[in-house]
Amino acid sequence: MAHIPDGVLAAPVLIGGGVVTLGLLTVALRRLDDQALPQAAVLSAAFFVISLISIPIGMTSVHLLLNGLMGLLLGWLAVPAILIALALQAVFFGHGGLLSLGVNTLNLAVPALLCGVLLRPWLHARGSGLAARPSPRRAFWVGALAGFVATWLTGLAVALALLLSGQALGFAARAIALAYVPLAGLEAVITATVLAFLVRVEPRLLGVPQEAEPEGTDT
Amino acid sequence: MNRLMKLLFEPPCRRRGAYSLLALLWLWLLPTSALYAHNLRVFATAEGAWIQGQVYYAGGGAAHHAQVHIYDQANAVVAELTPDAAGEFRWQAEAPQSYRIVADTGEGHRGEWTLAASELASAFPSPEPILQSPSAAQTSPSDDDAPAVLDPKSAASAIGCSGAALDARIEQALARQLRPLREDLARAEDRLALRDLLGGIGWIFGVTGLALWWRGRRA
Repeated sequence: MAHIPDGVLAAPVLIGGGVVTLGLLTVALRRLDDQALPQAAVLSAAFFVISLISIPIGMTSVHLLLNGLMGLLLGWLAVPAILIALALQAVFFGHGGLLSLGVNTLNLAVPALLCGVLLRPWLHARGSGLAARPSPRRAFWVGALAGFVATWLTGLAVALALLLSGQALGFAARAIALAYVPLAGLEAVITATVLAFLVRVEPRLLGVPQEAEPEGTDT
Repeated sequence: MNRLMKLLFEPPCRRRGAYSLLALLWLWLLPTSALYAHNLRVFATAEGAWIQGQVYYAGGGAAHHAQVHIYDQANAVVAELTPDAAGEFRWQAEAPQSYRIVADTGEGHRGEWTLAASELASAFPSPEPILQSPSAAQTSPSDDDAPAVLDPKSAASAIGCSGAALDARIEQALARQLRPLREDLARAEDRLALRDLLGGIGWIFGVTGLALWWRGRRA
């Protein structure tokens, strides 16, 4: 449902979404850090694959989004990472539309950005190096919160986009927001698990300040 | 729950094996089940003048809560239908023209199907029946070994109906026979192709490589 196809949304919503996405993309590209690019590519690919795979549940089917995880790990880079994956999904699989690319990116990237800006600092303990590494328990709960909030906000954004286009009336919008709750729970568990794993294996991925390079060693 | 926590928070050296095992298990399970993108689909064929179709989620169940609109060639809505519990709908076409069938669930899902005019042609015989040109029968090879050419007219008179009606009945029977095949084809198209999936991942890494090269060139 986060991938709204063409022909559903009204023109002002499409244009507005496109313009705001372009703005966010500009900011993200100005803040681009080369070091983070490979990581963004890996997460973009993960998002590309996992949000194509739908799990049949009852009469409908759901798919994971992972935008909370992307926001926590990538921050601003989540915007181009999501945009590229969405564009490829639309071109290769007709999953989401090309005209609605702006709105779809916005729906997924804004919650991701919020996670990156608001929740990411919670991952950092005081100090630097290994001391700044959060405990796995802390990473677990921050991840759970990010997974839940990002998915649910995406659901709200989709409902809002449909509401503004006159597609879904108040009742349907509320139903959409409710439908995202179980998915948000699932996202919470997965994001939390990934974070608890990463913090023990590769805490640098969480943006924990690196240890100062010992002097006199060749690297 | 306690065991899960223990699994997550224990030192990695002890649990890395378990994680790799889980990852392997997932990778192994992945290709065994067919993968579908999360999309709403419409499938429709004509049987006589009746357009029969189905609305469903790719890889999932019927979408009985969808609204089906049928547009004619002038892009005007000629019918508004609600599918039954199995997601199926029926509508009697008014003219032998192509129809666009659009399903919308009101929650951001939309599917489309175009029914070609040729499918309906048999149900709407043209006012002046096409004359069986006698030359066609006469120019058949005079070879005695050649299989006897069945003259549609004589066959029709044997059954006791006009040539046009027979044509219509043959076309309808064929349409009925071909329907499952066409349905299978449409469903096969819903299935994600692994090569597209891998192609998308390749694109993502390619774009990232390009970005890194571009920025490295300027430095």
